[in-house]
Amino acid sequence: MPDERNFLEPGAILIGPFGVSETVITTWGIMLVLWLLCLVFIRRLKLEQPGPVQTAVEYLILAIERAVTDILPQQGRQVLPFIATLWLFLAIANLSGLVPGLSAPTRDLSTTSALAALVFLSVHWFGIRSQGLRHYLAHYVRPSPILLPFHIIGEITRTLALAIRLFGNMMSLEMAALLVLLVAGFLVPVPILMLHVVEALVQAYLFGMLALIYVASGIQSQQTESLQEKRNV
Amino acid sequence: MELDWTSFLLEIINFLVLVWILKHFLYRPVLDMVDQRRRAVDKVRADAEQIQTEAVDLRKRYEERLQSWEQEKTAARAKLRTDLDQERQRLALAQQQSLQAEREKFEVLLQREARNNRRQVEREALDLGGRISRRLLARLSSPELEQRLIRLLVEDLGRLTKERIAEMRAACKLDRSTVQVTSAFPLDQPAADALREGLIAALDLSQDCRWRFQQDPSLIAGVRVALGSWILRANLQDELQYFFTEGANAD
Repeated sequence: MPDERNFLEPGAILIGPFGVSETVITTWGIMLVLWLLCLVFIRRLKLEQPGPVQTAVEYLILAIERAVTDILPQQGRQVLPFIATLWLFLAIANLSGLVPGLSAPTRDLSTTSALAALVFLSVHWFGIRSQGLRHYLAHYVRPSPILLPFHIIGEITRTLALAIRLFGNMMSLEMAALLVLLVAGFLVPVPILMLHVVEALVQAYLFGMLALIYVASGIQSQQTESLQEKRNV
Repeated sequence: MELDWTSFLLEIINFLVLVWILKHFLYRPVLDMVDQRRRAVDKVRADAEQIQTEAVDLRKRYEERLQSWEQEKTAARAKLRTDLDQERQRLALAQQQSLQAEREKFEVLLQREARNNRRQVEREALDLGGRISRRLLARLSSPELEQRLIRLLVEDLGRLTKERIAEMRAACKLDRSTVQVTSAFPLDQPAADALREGLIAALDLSQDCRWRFQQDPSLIAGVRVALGSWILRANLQDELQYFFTEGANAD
């Protein structure tokens, strides 16, 4: 029986029968850091005369809330944790590749696929919670049942596109930085790293915004159809 | 570019756990804090608006009260001015009346003083005239003048009214004892007899009356006859006295 340790990638560990990749460990590290920061942060929350850190965090969360409620005025607070977590996690995960010794979790297809799958599921979850299962499934056969395959293909392709877009961009960024570093020398990749920062934030924003639009389309399509049905009645 | 299903599942779980962590330890506290601060700001704003409303109301009431006070002040000032005018007029009138009274009083005093002065002057003039006349008549007096005066007395007695004669007789009867005759010069017997007979005839005196004659040079000339309480004056001294005294009183 071959030793499973020989098949583990560098940085991975084995917990029981499961091999935990470096991507998962980095994700845990990000989660732990975020949790500890949150614990420290909420201990220092002040109602009056907030400090600069509290002001910045409040501004960030209110900006995210404003972006979400601009698209979903009624379900803004309901969708906010999911979308805000996507933005925060992806921004930190994308930027974590800049830390020496770490690789960004988002350069792993497993992570981006997992996030894309969560977006796929959340679209249906929020859609069903909004109008119910029957009404939600009914929109796949409207305006004609012939469009059902196209709806399904659209759902799958956009989820795949979501996963592969983020994976491809982050992977290519790191590969480009690595190649430049190998070819040009020590300080030359610095502009590439600056581009990495911008690209990481842009990709995080893009992923979160697409997820928000997908969730909003799932909710608002139900509301639009219900409104049309009420008008027809 | 491999899909590790273990990582895939763990990443899904990780993300869901992260959503829970951030929801409970970041989003909810921050949003609650923001909501709480927003409510506090709204409350402060509402309080400020209420205070502003109250201030505006208070200012409006203050302005109305100020306007009312201004009107009352104007009315009070007008009333005060009217009262002052009336009081001034009253005081002026009283002052004018007082001055008029003082003026009249002063005029009366002046008139009285002038009258007194005039009287004094007249009295002095009369006194001076009296002294001059007495001195002149004293130089002109003589027994003949005295006899003429006695004759005038007898003639005047004859022109007395019956009522006056009756009064004189009654007085003579009450005191019938003495008829006292005072003359400036010594009366000789014919002159005394003529006087006695004239008096008896004019007054119908009884023969029982006693006659007493005496001399008083201060009479200058003439006689003074005392009949009880009646005195008949027919001499220059009494005439001058009467003249100057009655002349002064006549004024």
